[in-house]
Amino acid sequence: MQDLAMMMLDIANNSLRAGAKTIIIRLLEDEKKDRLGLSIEDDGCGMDEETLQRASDPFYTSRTTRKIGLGLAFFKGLSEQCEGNFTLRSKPGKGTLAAIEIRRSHWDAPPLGNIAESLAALIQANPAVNLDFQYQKNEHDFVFQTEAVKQILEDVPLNDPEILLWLKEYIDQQMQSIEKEGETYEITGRS
Amino acid sequence: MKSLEDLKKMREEAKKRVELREGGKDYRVVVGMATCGIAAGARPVLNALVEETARGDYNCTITQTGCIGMCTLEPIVEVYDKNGDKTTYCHVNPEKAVEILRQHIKKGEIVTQYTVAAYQK
Repeated sequence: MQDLAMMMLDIANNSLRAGAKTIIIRLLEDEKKDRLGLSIEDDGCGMDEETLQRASDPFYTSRTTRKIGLGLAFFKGLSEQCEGNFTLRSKPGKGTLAAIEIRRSHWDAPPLGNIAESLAALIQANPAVNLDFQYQKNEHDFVFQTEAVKQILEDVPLNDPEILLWLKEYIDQQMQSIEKEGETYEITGRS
Repeated sequence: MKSLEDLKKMREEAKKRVELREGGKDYRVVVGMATCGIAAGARPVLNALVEETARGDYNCTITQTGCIGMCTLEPIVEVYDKNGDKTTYCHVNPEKAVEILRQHIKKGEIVTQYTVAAYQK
Protein backbone atom coordinates (compact mmCIF):
# COMPACT_ATOMS: atom_id res chain seq x y z
CA MET A 1 0.00 0.00 0.00
CA GLN A 2 1.54 3.25 -1.13
CA ASP A 3 -0.44 5.67 0.98
CA LEU A 4 -2.88 6.17 3.83
CA ALA A 5 -5.85 6.74 1.53
CA MET A 6 -5.51 3.23 0.11
CA MET A 7 -5.32 1.72 3.60
CA MET A 8 -8.37 3.72 4.62
CA LEU A 9 -10.30 2.34 1.65
CA ASP A 10 -9.13 -1.19 2.36
CA ILE A 11 -10.06 -1.16 6.05
CA ALA A 12 -13.39 0.54 5.35
CA ASN A 13 -14.11 -2.18 2.80
CA ASN A 14 -14.01 -4.61 5.74
CA SER A 15 -16.76 -2.50 7.31
CA LEU A 16 -18.83 -2.74 4.14
CA ARG A 17 -18.40 -6.51 4.14
CA ALA A 18 -19.45 -6.56 7.78
CA GLY A 19 -22.77 -5.04 6.71
CA ALA A 20 -22.21 -1.66 8.37
CA LYS A 21 -24.92 0.98 8.07
CA THR A 22 -22.62 3.74 9.25
CA ILE A 23 -18.87 4.11 8.88
CA ILE A 24 -17.10 6.81 10.84
CA ILE A 25 -13.67 7.80 9.58
CA ARG A 26 -11.39 10.21 11.40
CA LEU A 27 -8.13 11.48 9.97
CA LEU A 28 -6.10 13.67 12.23
CA GLU A 29 -2.86 15.53 11.67
CA ASP A 30 -1.29 17.32 14.59
CA GLU A 31 1.98 18.98 13.73
CA LYS A 32 2.71 20.24 17.22
CA LYS A 33 2.45 16.78 18.72
CA ASP A 34 3.85 15.26 15.53
CA ARG A 35 1.03 12.73 15.34
CA LEU A 36 -0.98 11.35 12.48
CA GLY A 37 -4.09 9.34 13.30
CA LEU A 38 -6.56 7.37 11.25
CA SER A 39 -9.54 5.53 12.68
CA ILE A 40 -12.33 3.59 11.02
CA GLU A 41 -15.34 2.67 13.10
CA ASP A 42 -18.42 0.80 11.96
CA ASP A 43 -21.67 -0.66 13.24
CA GLY A 44 -21.26 -3.88 11.29
CA CYS A 45 -21.47 -7.46 12.50
CA GLY A 46 -18.31 -7.24 14.62
CA MET A 47 -16.01 -10.08 15.64
CA ASP A 48 -15.92 -12.48 18.54
CA GLU A 49 -12.88 -12.59 20.83
CA GLU A 50 -11.17 -15.41 18.95
CA THR A 51 -11.55 -13.80 15.53
CA LEU A 52 -10.42 -10.47 16.97
CA GLN A 53 -7.22 -12.04 18.28
CA ARG A 54 -6.39 -13.41 14.84
CA ALA A 55 -7.70 -10.55 12.67
CA SER A 56 -4.37 -8.76 12.19
CA ASP A 57 -2.51 -12.02 11.54
CA PRO A 58 -1.63 -12.00 7.82
CA PHE A 59 -2.31 -15.74 7.63
CA TYR A 60 -5.85 -15.35 8.85
CA THR A 61 -8.86 -14.32 6.77
CA SER A 62 -12.60 -14.79 6.98
CA ARG A 63 -12.87 -15.20 3.25
CA THR A 64 -12.63 -18.41 1.27
CA THR A 65 -11.08 -17.28 -2.02
CA ARG A 66 -7.58 -17.25 -0.52
CA LYS A 67 -5.77 -18.10 2.68
CA ILE A 68 -4.23 -14.77 3.60
CA GLY A 69 -5.70 -11.49 4.79
CA LEU A 70 -3.35 -8.53 4.65
CA GLY A 71 -5.55 -5.49 5.21
CA LEU A 72 -5.38 -5.24 8.99
CA ALA A 73 -1.89 -6.77 9.00
CA PHE A 74 -0.63 -3.88 6.84
CA PHE A 75 -2.45 -1.37 9.02
CA LYS A 76 -0.90 -2.76 12.20
CA GLY A 77 2.48 -3.10 10.51
CA LEU A 78 2.47 0.56 9.57
CA SER A 79 1.91 1.59 13.18
CA GLU A 80 4.81 -0.61 14.33
CA GLN A 81 7.02 0.84 11.62
CA CYS A 82 6.32 4.48 12.53
CA GLU A 83 6.57 4.60 16.33
CA GLY A 84 2.84 4.38 16.60
CA ASN A 85 0.14 2.29 18.12
CA PHE A 86 -2.63 0.13 16.77
CA THR A 87 -6.09 -0.36 18.24
CA LEU A 88 -8.58 -3.00 17.23
CA ARG A 89 -11.79 -3.29 19.21
CA SER A 90 -14.86 -5.24 18.28
CA LYS A 91 -18.07 -6.63 19.70
CA PRO A 92 -20.25 -9.15 17.90
CA GLY A 93 -23.43 -7.44 16.74
CA LYS A 94 -22.12 -3.99 17.70
CA GLY A 95 -19.30 -3.15 15.34
CA THR A 96 -15.58 -2.70 15.01
CA LEU A 97 -13.03 0.04 15.50
CA ALA A 98 -9.63 -0.09 13.81
CA ALA A 99 -7.24 2.77 14.43
CA ILE A 100 -3.61 3.73 14.18
CA GLU A 101 -1.68 6.69 15.45
CA ILE A 102 1.83 7.20 14.18
CA ARG A 103 4.66 9.72 14.31
CA ARG A 104 3.83 12.08 11.47
CA SER A 105 7.43 12.98 10.64
CA HIS A 106 8.67 9.38 10.71
CA TRP A 107 10.74 8.25 7.72
CA ASP A 108 8.27 5.50 6.97
CA ALA A 109 5.11 7.55 7.49
CA PRO A 110 3.16 7.32 4.22
CA PRO A 111 1.71 10.32 2.41
CA LEU A 112 -2.04 10.87 2.82
CA GLY A 113 -2.64 10.04 -0.83
CA ASN A 114 -5.88 10.68 -2.63
CA ILE A 115 -8.40 10.66 0.22
CA ALA A 116 -11.18 12.06 -1.98
CA GLU A 117 -10.84 9.22 -4.48
CA SER A 118 -10.94 6.63 -1.70
CA LEU A 119 -14.09 8.17 -0.22
CA ALA A 120 -15.69 8.27 -3.68
CA ALA A 121 -14.84 4.59 -4.14
CA LEU A 122 -16.52 3.81 -0.80
CA ILE A 123 -19.65 5.73 -1.76
CA GLN A 124 -19.64 3.99 -5.14
CA ALA A 125 -19.37 0.57 -3.50
CA ASN A 126 -22.47 1.08 -1.39
CA PRO A 127 -24.27 4.44 -1.52
CA ALA A 128 -26.78 3.27 1.09
CA VAL A 129 -24.13 3.28 3.81
CA ASN A 130 -23.79 6.49 5.77
CA LEU A 131 -20.26 7.74 5.60
CA ASP A 132 -19.17 10.16 8.28
CA PHE A 133 -15.73 11.57 7.53
CA GLN A 134 -13.71 14.14 9.40
CA TYR A 135 -10.30 15.46 8.49
CA GLN A 136 -8.55 17.59 11.02
CA LYS A 137 -5.26 19.34 10.54
CA ASN A 138 -4.04 21.24 13.56
CA GLU A 139 -6.96 23.51 14.47
CA HIS A 140 -8.83 23.28 11.18
CA ASP A 141 -11.25 20.62 10.20
CA PHE A 142 -13.52 19.48 7.41
CA VAL A 143 -16.52 17.24 7.90
CA PHE A 144 -18.22 15.30 5.14
CA GLN A 145 -21.35 13.28 5.82
CA THR A 146 -23.22 11.43 3.11
CA GLU A 147 -26.41 11.81 5.13
CA ALA A 148 -26.36 15.57 4.51
CA VAL A 149 -25.69 14.98 0.82
CA LYS A 150 -28.59 12.53 0.59
CA GLN A 151 -30.94 15.13 2.07
CA ILE A 152 -29.96 17.59 -0.63
CA LEU A 153 -30.14 15.06 -3.44
CA GLU A 154 -33.48 13.56 -2.38
CA ASP A 155 -33.94 10.44 -4.52
CA VAL A 156 -30.95 10.95 -6.78
CA PRO A 157 -28.50 8.14 -6.04
CA LEU A 158 -25.05 9.07 -4.76
CA ASN A 159 -23.41 6.66 -7.15
CA ASP A 160 -24.68 8.47 -10.21
CA PRO A 161 -21.34 8.96 -12.03
CA GLU A 162 -21.67 12.73 -12.41
CA ILE A 163 -22.73 13.25 -8.79
CA LEU A 164 -19.92 10.97 -7.63
CA LEU A 165 -17.32 12.92 -9.58
CA TRP A 166 -18.66 16.18 -8.21
CA LEU A 167 -18.45 14.83 -4.66
CA LYS A 168 -14.87 13.69 -5.24
CA GLU A 169 -13.84 17.11 -6.49
CA TYR A 170 -15.67 18.80 -3.64
CA ILE A 171 -13.91 16.69 -1.01
CA ASP A 172 -10.59 17.27 -2.73
CA GLN A 173 -11.02 21.05 -2.72
CA GLN A 174 -12.07 21.12 0.93
CA MET A 175 -9.17 18.89 1.98
CA GLN A 176 -6.69 21.08 0.14
CA SER A 177 -8.03 24.24 1.70
CA ILE A 178 -7.75 22.71 5.18
CA GLU A 179 -4.20 21.61 4.43
CA LYS A 180 -3.39 25.18 3.37
CA GLU A 181 -5.03 26.74 6.41
CA GLY A 182 -3.08 24.27 8.49
CA GLU A 183 0.13 25.56 6.93
CA THR A 184 -0.77 29.16 7.71
CA TYR A 185 -1.26 28.11 11.27
CA GLU A 186 2.11 26.45 11.27
CA ILE A 187 3.87 29.66 10.25
CA THR A 188 2.07 31.91 12.75
CA GLY A 189 2.43 29.24 15.38
CA ARG A 190 6.20 29.50 15.20
CA SER A 191 6.44 33.26 15.71
CA MET B 1 -14.73 26.57 -4.50
CA LYS B 2 -17.61 24.09 -4.59
CA SER B 3 -20.26 24.14 -1.88
CA LEU B 4 -22.91 21.56 -1.05
CA GLU B 5 -25.48 24.16 -2.11
CA ASP B 6 -24.33 23.66 -5.70
CA LEU B 7 -25.59 20.10 -5.47
CA LYS B 8 -29.16 21.40 -5.32
CA LYS B 9 -28.67 22.88 -8.78
CA MET B 10 -27.40 19.57 -10.06
CA ARG B 11 -30.29 17.64 -8.54
CA GLU B 12 -33.02 18.27 -11.12
CA GLU B 13 -30.80 17.48 -14.03
CA ALA B 14 -29.52 14.38 -12.28
CA LYS B 15 -33.11 13.23 -11.70
CA LYS B 16 -33.90 13.45 -15.39
CA ARG B 17 -30.70 11.65 -16.22
CA VAL B 18 -31.40 8.87 -13.76
CA GLU B 19 -34.90 8.39 -15.18
CA LEU B 20 -33.43 8.15 -18.66
CA ARG B 21 -30.92 5.63 -17.49
CA GLU B 22 -33.48 3.51 -15.67
CA GLY B 23 -34.13 0.08 -17.02
CA GLY B 24 -31.82 -2.84 -17.55
CA LYS B 25 -28.26 -2.38 -18.64
CA ASP B 26 -26.65 -4.68 -21.15
CA TYR B 27 -23.34 -4.85 -19.32
CA ARG B 28 -22.06 -5.01 -15.79
CA VAL B 29 -18.48 -3.89 -15.24
CA VAL B 30 -16.97 -5.18 -12.00
CA VAL B 31 -13.74 -3.98 -10.39
CA GLY B 32 -11.90 -6.15 -7.84
CA MET B 33 -11.41 -3.92 -4.81
CA ALA B 34 -9.87 -6.12 -2.11
CA THR B 35 -6.46 -5.50 -0.51
CA CYS B 36 -4.71 -7.05 -3.54
CA GLY B 37 -6.69 -4.93 -5.99
CA ILE B 38 -6.23 -1.68 -4.09
CA ALA B 39 -2.49 -2.24 -3.65
CA ALA B 40 -2.14 -2.95 -7.38
CA GLY B 41 -3.98 0.24 -8.38
CA ALA B 42 -7.66 -0.70 -8.68
CA ARG B 43 -8.89 2.60 -7.25
CA PRO B 44 -7.65 4.79 -10.13
CA VAL B 45 -9.12 2.18 -12.49
CA LEU B 46 -12.52 2.48 -10.81
CA ASN B 47 -12.18 6.26 -10.94
CA ALA B 48 -11.41 6.18 -14.67
CA LEU B 49 -14.46 3.98 -15.29
CA VAL B 50 -16.70 6.35 -13.32
CA GLU B 51 -15.26 9.40 -15.09
CA GLU B 52 -15.70 7.90 -18.53
CA THR B 53 -19.27 6.76 -17.85
CA ALA B 54 -20.10 10.25 -16.54
CA ARG B 55 -18.84 11.74 -19.79
CA GLY B 56 -20.37 9.39 -22.32
CA ASP B 57 -23.54 7.37 -22.43
CA TYR B 58 -22.58 3.79 -21.69
CA ASN B 59 -24.98 0.88 -21.44
CA CYS B 60 -23.43 -0.52 -18.26
CA THR B 61 -23.30 -0.31 -14.52
CA ILE B 62 -20.03 -0.10 -12.61
CA THR B 63 -19.78 -2.17 -9.44
CA GLN B 64 -17.09 -3.41 -7.06
CA THR B 65 -16.30 -6.80 -5.67
CA GLY B 66 -13.78 -8.34 -3.31
CA CYS B 67 -10.92 -10.63 -4.17
CA ILE B 68 -11.43 -12.59 -7.37
CA GLY B 69 -8.74 -15.11 -6.41
CA MET B 70 -6.05 -14.16 -8.91
CA CYS B 71 -4.22 -11.56 -6.82
CA THR B 72 -1.11 -11.44 -9.04
CA LEU B 73 -3.24 -10.39 -12.00
CA GLU B 74 -4.81 -7.38 -10.30
CA PRO B 75 -6.17 -4.85 -11.09
CA ILE B 76 -8.88 -7.09 -12.55
CA VAL B 77 -11.98 -5.87 -14.34
CA GLU B 78 -14.76 -8.30 -15.24
CA VAL B 79 -17.37 -7.54 -17.86
CA TYR B 80 -20.65 -9.47 -17.73
CA ASP B 81 -22.95 -9.24 -20.70
CA LYS B 82 -26.72 -9.61 -20.47
CA ASN B 83 -26.46 -13.38 -20.97
CA GLY B 84 -24.21 -13.58 -17.92
CA ASP B 85 -21.13 -14.39 -20.00
CA LYS B 86 -17.98 -13.05 -18.39
CA THR B 87 -14.83 -11.55 -19.84
CA THR B 88 -11.94 -11.10 -17.39
CA TYR B 89 -9.37 -8.37 -18.02
CA CYS B 90 -6.16 -8.31 -16.00
CA HIS B 91 -3.38 -5.82 -15.20
CA VAL B 92 -5.83 -3.06 -16.04
CA ASN B 93 -4.79 0.57 -15.69
CA PRO B 94 -6.92 3.72 -16.16
CA GLU B 95 -6.07 3.95 -19.88
CA LYS B 96 -6.92 0.31 -20.54
CA ALA B 97 -10.14 0.72 -18.53
CA VAL B 98 -11.31 3.52 -20.80
CA GLU B 99 -10.37 1.47 -23.85
CA ILE B 100 -12.41 -1.47 -22.52
CA LEU B 101 -15.44 0.81 -22.13
CA ARG B 102 -15.06 2.30 -25.60
CA GLN B 103 -14.50 -0.96 -27.40
CA HIS B 104 -16.27 -3.64 -25.37
CA ILE B 105 -19.26 -1.74 -23.98
CA LYS B 106 -19.77 0.72 -26.84
CA LYS B 107 -19.04 -1.59 -29.77
CA GLY B 108 -19.50 -5.02 -28.24
CA GLU B 109 -15.97 -6.07 -29.21
CA ILE B 110 -13.83 -7.81 -26.61
CA VAL B 111 -10.38 -6.20 -26.15
CA THR B 112 -8.69 -9.55 -26.58
CA GLN B 113 -5.13 -8.49 -25.79
CA TYR B 114 -6.03 -7.41 -22.22
CA THR B 115 -7.87 -10.58 -21.24
CA VAL B 116 -6.54 -13.15 -18.78
CA ALA B 117 -6.66 -15.74 -21.58
CA ALA B 118 -4.28 -13.63 -23.68
CA TYR B 119 -2.02 -13.00 -20.70
CA GLN B 120 -1.72 -16.67 -19.80
CA LYS B 121 -0.78 -17.73 -23.33
